[in-house]
Amino acid sequence: MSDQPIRAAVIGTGFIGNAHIESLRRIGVSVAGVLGHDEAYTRREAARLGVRPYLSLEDLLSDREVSVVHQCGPNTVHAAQNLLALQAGKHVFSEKPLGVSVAECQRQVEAARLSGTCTAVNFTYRGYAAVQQLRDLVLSGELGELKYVRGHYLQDWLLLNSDHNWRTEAPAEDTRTVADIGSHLADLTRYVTGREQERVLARFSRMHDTRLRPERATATFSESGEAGTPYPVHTEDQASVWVDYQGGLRASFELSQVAAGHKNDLMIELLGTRGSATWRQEEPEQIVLGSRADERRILLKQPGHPFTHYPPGHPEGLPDAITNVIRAFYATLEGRPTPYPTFQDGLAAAHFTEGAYRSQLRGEWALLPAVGAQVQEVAR
Amino acid sequence: MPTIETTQVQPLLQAQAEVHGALLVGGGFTAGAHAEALRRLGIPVVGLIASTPERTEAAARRYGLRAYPDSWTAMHDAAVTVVHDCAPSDVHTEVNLEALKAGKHIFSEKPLGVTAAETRRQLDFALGSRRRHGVHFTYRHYPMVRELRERVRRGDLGELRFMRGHYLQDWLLSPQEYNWRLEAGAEETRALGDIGTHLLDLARFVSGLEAVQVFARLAQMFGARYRPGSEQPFRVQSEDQATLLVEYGGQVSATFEVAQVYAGQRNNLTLELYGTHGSARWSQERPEELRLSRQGRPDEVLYKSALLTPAAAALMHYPAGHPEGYPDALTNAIREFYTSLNSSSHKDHGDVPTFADGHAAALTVAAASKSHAENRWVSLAEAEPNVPARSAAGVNV
Repeated sequence: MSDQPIRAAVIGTGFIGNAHIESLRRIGVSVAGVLGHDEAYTRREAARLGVRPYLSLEDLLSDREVSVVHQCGPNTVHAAQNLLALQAGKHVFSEKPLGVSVAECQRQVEAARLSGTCTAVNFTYRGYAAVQQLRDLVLSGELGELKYVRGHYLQDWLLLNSDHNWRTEAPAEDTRTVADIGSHLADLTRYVTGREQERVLARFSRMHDTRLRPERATATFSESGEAGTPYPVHTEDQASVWVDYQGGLRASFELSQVAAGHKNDLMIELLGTRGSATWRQEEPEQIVLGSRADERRILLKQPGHPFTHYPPGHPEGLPDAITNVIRAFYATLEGRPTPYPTFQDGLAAAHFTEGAYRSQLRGEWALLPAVGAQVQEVAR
Repeated sequence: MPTIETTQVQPLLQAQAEVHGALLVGGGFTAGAHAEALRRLGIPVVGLIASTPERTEAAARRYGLRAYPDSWTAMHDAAVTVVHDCAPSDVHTEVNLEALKAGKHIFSEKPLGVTAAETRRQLDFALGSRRRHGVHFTYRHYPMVRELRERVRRGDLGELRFMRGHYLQDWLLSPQEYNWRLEAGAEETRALGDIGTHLLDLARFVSGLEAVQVFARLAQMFGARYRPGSEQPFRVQSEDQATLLVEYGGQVSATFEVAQVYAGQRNNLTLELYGTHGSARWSQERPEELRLSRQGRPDEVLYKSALLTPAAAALMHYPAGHPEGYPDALTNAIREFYTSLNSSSHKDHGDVPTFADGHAAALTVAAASKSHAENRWVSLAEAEPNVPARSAAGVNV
């Protein structure tokens, strides 16, 4: 790296684009400019944020001061734009999913390998200190030999048939619950266990075969509550998924976007021959340790951990996790290797999603190719 | 997290109506936390000044900021419009008055001063200054605390009668633990001044009531402690623990407990309110939950969601189930202070805690300290320092 300060450009200034910009500011990385979906919008957003408007992708990629591109645009543009950014020699930090198909992800992994630049996919939950601790726990052997994983990712924002989002109109093969939230659980499991996925068995179900499209568009996590035009739904509201990992590790996952009362309930339990460890995203600073002894231990956050920035009892949450993933990426660019999820991990998630779809279609296990030496090993 | 394009929660980043520049005074952990929050909000941090040139240099380098050579230069830099006082408590008065005299707005860490006389002096000066004055009572700025206050205000609990609260920590459990706060004199207090002020402000904010009189008992777990690298113990003047009875008038009373030596308690700030129709409880370590128990209904736990009252929802920036914590409450505190700078009326502080709130907390602590020393109920009026005639007149509140 040169001595020039690293500057970032952000594609997409919706909710997640703003979250990236906020995180970049927190860690003191300057944001050179933003690119939105049209010129007027881009100018308005750039003015609001006090940065330069890029009026086209070419405009952005030709800015020599920018060395990192943050991809926060819609899923369908990720692959094409990320490939151009890599060709332009930029580092790429992409929102998930990396692409809308395995093929799109494979092309990007290959391009990343040739470009020699750093690439990341924002699997946010890896940014929690407790998730790093979970991985350390598994690797330390404290749980004995890891045999089973139980996990769920349950939400309720699509519970009502009037709840609408572009995702509810997607074709069946895009999947919805599996691609949107199952991919997070699959990545989390791969990361904390350090094992590659081998095969998957899935059963999908729908609570609503028909939903109502409201007169005006509604945003993710909001309620419409209005009457609207009926349309058929092709994607799953719920999925039960089994995954076998290397070395005889078996996992069962429950995924739903229609589980009343569950807001963003991501849970993972790791069960070994000597003990178990459970973590829930909604209580992110606790790990519950179980064993045959008549006690259950709660592991609190460790003040000295590099992913911890506030003392015990001062809760750190999702914005801090996002910042940790971005911080790890920039620390690596600056020559201090820190673990973060890469394009390889984005590809593994795409294999999981496509495999689950294939499995439920055929009613049998679907094999998942290994993506290589991908589960990043970086010493802290 | 699902990819979120838009939500109805408040935008993370908003344009500043007026350009401000922040000066950080202090080079410790808190200065770093303020710097991070300011950066999140896109507010320029102009520079930093700490207690010695060496500390200034080190902290400025750590946070990537300009190091000022001396306090006068820092305070009189035209690019500075707001001073953040993150220095140790015993210099707050000096720093805050200097900032106001230089014509800057001041956002001070708590406690505002180490005695009620100090906070009175600062309040009087601030009121005459036509500048904004804020105190960082972080916990007011959690969405569920705002929800709790709204619920109390609209009578969900009936008429308020009792409050129970505690703020318990264990970071000074061992006599070998050392911090500058341990050097405080008895009158200055320690557990009360450091964390009791937070609890007292929270109760006052949520209930909307002023304390009238106090009975307190202070205690030490260790009378002798050790400075780093020294085997020679020193005599500690201040309390490790305190229990308070507070009367708010109008049939409302409260019991509070604070401690810095309770094993297993990390940062356990909890407030319960009991009314004629129900009760409510909030705990800082689970900040996105609010427990409500109301007559004739099953107990409920409310979670942060966009369906909260507008005042509470305005403080959330991520959807339900996406935990926001302490750094976000701190950022909300600074966000609300800077928003108040753009308000045309200098009398309208909104929900931003001012020096008046800092003084109210200090006054209750002073009354508690006096109560303990004299073993009797002490009214807040008794604890109020004698006010020089010049500052009592013509004050705009």
